[in-house]
Amino acid sequence: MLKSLRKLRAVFLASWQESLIYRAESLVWFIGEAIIPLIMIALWLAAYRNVDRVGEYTVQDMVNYYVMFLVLSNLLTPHLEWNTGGFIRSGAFSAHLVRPFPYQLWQLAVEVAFKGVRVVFLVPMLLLFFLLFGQEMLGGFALRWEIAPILLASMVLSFLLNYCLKLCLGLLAFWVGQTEGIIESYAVVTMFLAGSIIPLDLMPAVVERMTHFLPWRYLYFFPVQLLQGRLDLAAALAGLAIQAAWLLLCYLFVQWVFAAGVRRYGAYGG
Amino acid sequence: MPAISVRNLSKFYEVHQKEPGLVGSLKSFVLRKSYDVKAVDGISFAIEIGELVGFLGPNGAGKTTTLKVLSGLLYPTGGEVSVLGFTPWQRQADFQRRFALVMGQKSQVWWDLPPMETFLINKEIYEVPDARFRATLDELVQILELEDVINVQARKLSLGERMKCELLAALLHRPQVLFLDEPTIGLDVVAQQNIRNFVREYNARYGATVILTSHYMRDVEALCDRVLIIDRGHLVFDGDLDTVVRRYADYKFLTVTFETPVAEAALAEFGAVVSYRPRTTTLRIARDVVPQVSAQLLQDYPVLDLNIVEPEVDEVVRQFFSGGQPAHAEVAS
Repeated sequence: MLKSLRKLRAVFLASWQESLIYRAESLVWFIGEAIIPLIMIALWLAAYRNVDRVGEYTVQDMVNYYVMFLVLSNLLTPHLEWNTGGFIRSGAFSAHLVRPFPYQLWQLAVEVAFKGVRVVFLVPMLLLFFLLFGQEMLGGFALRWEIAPILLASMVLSFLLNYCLKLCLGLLAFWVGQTEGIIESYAVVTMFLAGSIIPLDLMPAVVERMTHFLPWRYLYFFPVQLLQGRLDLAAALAGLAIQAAWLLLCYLFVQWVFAAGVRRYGAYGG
Repeated sequence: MPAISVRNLSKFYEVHQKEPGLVGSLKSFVLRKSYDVKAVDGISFAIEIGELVGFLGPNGAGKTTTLKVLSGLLYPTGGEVSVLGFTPWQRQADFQRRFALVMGQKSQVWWDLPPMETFLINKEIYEVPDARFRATLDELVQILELEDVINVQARKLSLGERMKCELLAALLHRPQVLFLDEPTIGLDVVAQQNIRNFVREYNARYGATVILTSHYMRDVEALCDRVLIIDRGHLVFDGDLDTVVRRYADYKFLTVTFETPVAEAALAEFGAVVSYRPRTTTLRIARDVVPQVSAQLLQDYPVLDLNIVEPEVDEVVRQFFSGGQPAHAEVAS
């Protein structure tokens, strides 16, 4: 256990240094991700001129929703699907397979390290949002103290659940030559089913009910609900349990996919 | 017990075939034709602890596939393999800490960071104790002459420097078994020489078992007493390099310089003319008649200089693969 932690730390420290080298690229990605919430906020502000409420959301709730969604999706989304697929296609995956340390853990340390840079960008971005719509943004918070530990736990679970889902996407490269199309489709599906575009509870009832039975609801929408005080303790704990169940399921699945993929691995090149 | 034993190893790949062009693509979209490529087909050998063995063979012969099976990267189609008592493709950590795989075309050194960072990661990953890490690092840095390099961003290093760093990174845990796949590819002659010297040194110092594949015959010639020649998935020769030369090259080259020009036709009577200029000509002569031919030439023509050379191992192996009938068939008797 201690040895594993030392290994994770070593990979983390090197990745952290590497992430600082790629700070410009990270900034570009970050700005790209901030565009959609910015547009959505502008749209909603126009819509709220004539109404006080849309569903359960006041204008404050709505602005807060997108800003918090942006923060959480930035902190809780690893991006290992591209690299993993690339390693497999190019044969660079071999280096990971001969190492006495599982790729799943190695890449986890890398992804956590790369999140550090995002925090550096998030702070000025939040300031900017605050200057633009300060009042609305803060008005939506309603986090109760007994919910706070559940929020923290749900953020950790969300990161790990995301990690397993994205690892599966990357591992598809064992079977499929080009995974880019699948990755892009996944991103679009996630955008709707996770609630990046519109809060899930404003979706048509059928779709909303469906999202309860899919993992994406628990990535960002669930923690934002906690932040906005929309769930009581029982509902919050139930949500956390479902999130944990999804994580367990995805973990087992990804381990199985990994083992099956490695059996197929051709160790191309060289 | 041998360090490595391989019995009846085979590895078949399923390959999809597509006819050229758009129609071919559509056909293959609906109905894929596939067939098996027998990359390795029933190979057996054993390598003792501390041996330095070369794998020779043309591209696609099965050398690298064999090495990948031995490192646990590939599951074989059939056969038994044991490396240090382990079954490689079970990929146990205990096994992985005891060997290293260096691929000339793949890098494990982190591109954007100084190589020292990679070394520090490997120290943890391979659980090397501090004192031993220091000692091994100092020793390897000195032998490989990397003092000025290990703290420079890896992408800024020359290919030769980077390859040395790859070796260093792979050897910090002092593996008992070392697989080198084309370790000198793309390097200049001096860098190749350095890597070669180092591999020999490592083998001698730590008693490590080393398997080397290379396109550069010089690597194998300089390092390996024993070679395994693999061709189209089969092991076609297992023995020492001298035997290959003696068995498959029963000829030598004779280069003669004359005082006055000599006609090509006249020289062709002695043996196959490899290169002809009126004053300097190289002939290929059957090994057992070299003394007679030399004497005859000295007697018949105004010879200034006469030079007898063994064929290059490279050339011998090339002939080996191009049908096995070496040049003595062409030599006039």
